Amino acid sequence: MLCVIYIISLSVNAANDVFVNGKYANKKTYRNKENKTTRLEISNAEALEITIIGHTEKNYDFLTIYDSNQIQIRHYSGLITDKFTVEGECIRIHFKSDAATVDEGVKVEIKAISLFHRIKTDLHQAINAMMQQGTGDIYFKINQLVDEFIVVETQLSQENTLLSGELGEKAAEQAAKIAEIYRNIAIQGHAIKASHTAQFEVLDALQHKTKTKINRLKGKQLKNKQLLEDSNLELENPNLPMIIQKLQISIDVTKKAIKALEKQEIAWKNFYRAQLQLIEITHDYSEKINFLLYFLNENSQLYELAAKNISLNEIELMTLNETLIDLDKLKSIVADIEASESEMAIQLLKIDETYITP
Amino acid sequence: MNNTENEEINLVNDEKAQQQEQIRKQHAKARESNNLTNVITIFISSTLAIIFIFVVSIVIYQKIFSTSSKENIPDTTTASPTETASKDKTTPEKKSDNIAVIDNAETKTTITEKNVKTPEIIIDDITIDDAKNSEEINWSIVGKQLILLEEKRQQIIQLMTKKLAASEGNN
Repeated sequence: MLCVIYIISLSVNAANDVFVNGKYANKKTYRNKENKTTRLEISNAEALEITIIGHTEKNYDFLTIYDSNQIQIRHYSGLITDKFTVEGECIRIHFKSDAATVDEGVKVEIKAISLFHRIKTDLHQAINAMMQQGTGDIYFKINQLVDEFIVVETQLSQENTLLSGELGEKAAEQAAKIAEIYRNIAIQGHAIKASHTAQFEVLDALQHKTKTKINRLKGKQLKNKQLLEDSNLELENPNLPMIIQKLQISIDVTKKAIKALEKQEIAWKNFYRAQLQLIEITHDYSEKINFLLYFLNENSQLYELAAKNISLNEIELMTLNETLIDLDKLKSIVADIEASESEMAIQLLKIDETYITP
Repeated sequence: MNNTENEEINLVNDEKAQQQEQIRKQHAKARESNNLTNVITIFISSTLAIIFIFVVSIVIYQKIFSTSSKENIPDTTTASPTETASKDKTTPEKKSDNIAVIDNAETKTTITEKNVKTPEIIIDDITIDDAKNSEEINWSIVGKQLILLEEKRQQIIQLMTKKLAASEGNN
């Protein structure tokens, strides 16, 4: 009887690490008016990696994720594909559908990861966010203009396509377009700066977590050293042979534990130093991006003026290449940015290669 | 003589009565003991039965109804604007296809183990938004494209200048 109870208890303790409904639960769709709350848990996990896929009726059926402190961390509707990490050993999932129209459903999976792995993942995310913030639309617009310029260049290389009178008009149009693009990039300056500030806060928080871990390891070491001292003192007293043996075993184990903790501390300290270097590089990178934005903003005004001048006098075209943007300067700024990105990538690689001895 | 006989008979009767009383007491003790054993047995078996039923119920709950629990959402959470929209289908909000609404942002000034969780929300929020547009484009790629644009512009101006000079010469 007790055995049966024990076996059943074991199955109760088995971690529930996936939530599925609709097509992921071998059904066609989820149901209307569903209102489910499920807890996903992996015992003793330092952190969890959460992978979510699926589709719900956009704006009407929702999937919400709460962390172990019951704080809402995600809220989804529509097409869902996401992967992120949270601290703790459990999350709570709430799925709610309204009275009409259903969709394929969702699948939420959790995987235990170490705090070390989690900090690494978050560092990658922060750096990528910093390198990519504000680039998507701009890149698309620049590409469009490059394509337009290629067409104009082809036209110009053919005879009698653009005649005097039309040339100035075309050049003014192009200068205005470049001015607009540069202005658009510069306008994003505040948003980019705010995003960089947010990422610096993330990096600082990750660094703080690392520091806290190092302090904990130090605390554990101190505790073990105290234990070792006590055991040695106890050994000096007259004792029964069995007690002496026990004390010696305890001393051996404690010594090994102290060594293991020391190794961990060294690895975490290396990790901490690598993070410090990375943060330094990212601050430098952020400055370079700000400088590029400033440079483009100044030049957007120059292009606007040039566009007006050519419209007034086509002959202005002759001196345009000398008066417009300093291409060498632009090249040097971009090269600096590229160097910083490479440095960040190398530093991230170093961090990836940092490992914790078991 | 009769008195003596009567006394003897009485003594015998007393003795018998005492013996009977003793037997009765022994029986009573035995009964009490039996009753206690029975009570303990019933108690143990009923406790085991209750534990068994309890454990089986938890297993059934976990295995069958775990995904359809009707627990309420904790009070710390509030309905987001998108959830409110579900109540009124006539005025749907314009939302991106993948919504990631963060309602419970905490202060970032105090550095505590709890508070350091807040910034990570910001990271994820940004990555979700960026992933849809950027396709991993960083600033050096944008910069190179800007250089290409400028080079094209310079070439065009050179071609235009040549055409203009030729046109001026003709005139």
